[in-house]
Amino acid sequence: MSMGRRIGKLGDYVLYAGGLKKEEISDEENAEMPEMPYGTFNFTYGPSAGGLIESIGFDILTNGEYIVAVKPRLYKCRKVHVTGLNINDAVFAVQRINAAFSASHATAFLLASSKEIDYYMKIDLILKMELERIRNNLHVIGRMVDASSQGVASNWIFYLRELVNRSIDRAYGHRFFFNSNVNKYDGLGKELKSINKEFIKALDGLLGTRIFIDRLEKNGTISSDDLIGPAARAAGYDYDARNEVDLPYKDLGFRSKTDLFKAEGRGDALDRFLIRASEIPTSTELVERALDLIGKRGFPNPSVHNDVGIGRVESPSGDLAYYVRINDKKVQEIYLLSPSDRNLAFFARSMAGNIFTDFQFNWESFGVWASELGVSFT
Amino acid sequence: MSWFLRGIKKGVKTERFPVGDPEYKPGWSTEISGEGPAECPTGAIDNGRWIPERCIFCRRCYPNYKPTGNVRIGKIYRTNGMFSKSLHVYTIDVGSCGGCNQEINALTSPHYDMNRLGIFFVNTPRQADALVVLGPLSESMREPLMRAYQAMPEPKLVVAGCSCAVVNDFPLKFDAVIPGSPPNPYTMLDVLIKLGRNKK
Repeated sequence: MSMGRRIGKLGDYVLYAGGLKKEEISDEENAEMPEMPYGTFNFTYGPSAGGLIESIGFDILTNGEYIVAVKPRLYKCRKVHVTGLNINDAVFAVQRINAAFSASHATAFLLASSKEIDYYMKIDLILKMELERIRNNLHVIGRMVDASSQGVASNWIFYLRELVNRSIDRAYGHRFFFNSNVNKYDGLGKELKSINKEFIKALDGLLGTRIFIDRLEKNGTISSDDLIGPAARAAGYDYDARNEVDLPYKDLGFRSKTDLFKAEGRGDALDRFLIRASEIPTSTELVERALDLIGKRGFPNPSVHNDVGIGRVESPSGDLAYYVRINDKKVQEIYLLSPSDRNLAFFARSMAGNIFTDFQFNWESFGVWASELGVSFT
Repeated sequence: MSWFLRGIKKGVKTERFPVGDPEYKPGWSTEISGEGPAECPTGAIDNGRWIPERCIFCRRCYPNYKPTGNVRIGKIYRTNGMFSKSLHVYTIDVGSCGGCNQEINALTSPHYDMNRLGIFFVNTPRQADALVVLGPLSESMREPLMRAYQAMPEPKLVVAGCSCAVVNDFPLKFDAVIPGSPPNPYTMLDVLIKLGRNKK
């Protein structure tokens, strides 16, 4: 029986769209550097350097400007205490693994640890994740535009990102959804609609700016069955966990493919940019429909199971999954499959053959967050 | 339409802060006020007294304690008047959740525009006046942190960019703490401005 597409390592297992399977998988994250050909040398970038918003290091094998290979080095390697905690305390810890994807982490963990989640709470979880996607995609696009020194455009995009942060804060009491216990949706739909309208105008300008497009086209091209999230969709694979997981995306009329600003499917930084751009209007529509459906309803807390569970969501950078074993309402065992761990390996592969001036654009296009790389649980 | 004209057409989006109050009131990252018992996991509420540098704004104290909206909650222990007109900041992420990285990055966006106040990010600690530390120190970032500090010219200041950075075994002495996990950009900006004052 087919298990569907392979998503990645989750603890001692490999996660497929159809479930877990015990099998060996090569450790791409720890791939060794190739032998140094004549004339090449190793250039170290990071862990703390201008251009990197988080701490991460790269060994770049190069013969000057042309890059032969890239090996990432992790520095943050955060230890998160979750084992032995009750679900409330565990969610508190899990959503602080990566602030940029806190709603995605919390949702995947809740799906993995709950026996039942109220339908309207699921809609609210989708609402949070789509707001997070809009914010993150604006961030990624802003960073790509900033790297090309398009001052007006990058300021415009970052202005919109800040507006989204403020809308999230007004709705949930915190700019990163941490421990959100208030839901004030008044005006949220209107605010997002206006942000989306502004974004379309900025995007229209960017698509007509050849100097920007040239930096992205044919930069970091990668195509593989194993790709996830926007990187997969940019390479022409219709992979989106929103079509596959136990969340009512269909009730909100979700469609993963969009004709707006259609990507060519070449799998370069330009296509990743276009995919992320096209997701902003799509997510805005989902937010509006979710708000209509929720109305002013409240919802009960989810009930906790006493077993093993897997929860998976489509984070802004692709599949994010938790494996959780619960006993006596406390977390006994937990594993994380983070989209950044997967995308970091794809980024490194895509850099071979590029030049160093391409680095920033390609790096930003994968939307990797170092805070969720190499996380270990205690 | 050229980007220059687009920029002009957008008009000025920068707020007047630090003159006056912020245009929007952030939620759980501002001063906490209230009374009564609180289930505080970090000991930020001690006998009814709120200790900002310990607070991660987890809301466990709600409803007895609530945010007031006051963003000027930074703790300043040492300043240097030499930086009153120009402060160059090097940020170092030593193990953060990425939240404070995004919030300090927002200071360059039009709402806050820290450059108008003479505050700039630099790409190397060799050009920095202040080192802003983000996140709780992970072991593998200890050496890069110390190398960055040693590379800075004198005089220099060290700032905890969030409450998470204030850990017991931190190897440097903080001259200021920006409370929050993550702090809001207004509080970050307020602390950075105050670093250049002659008196703390």
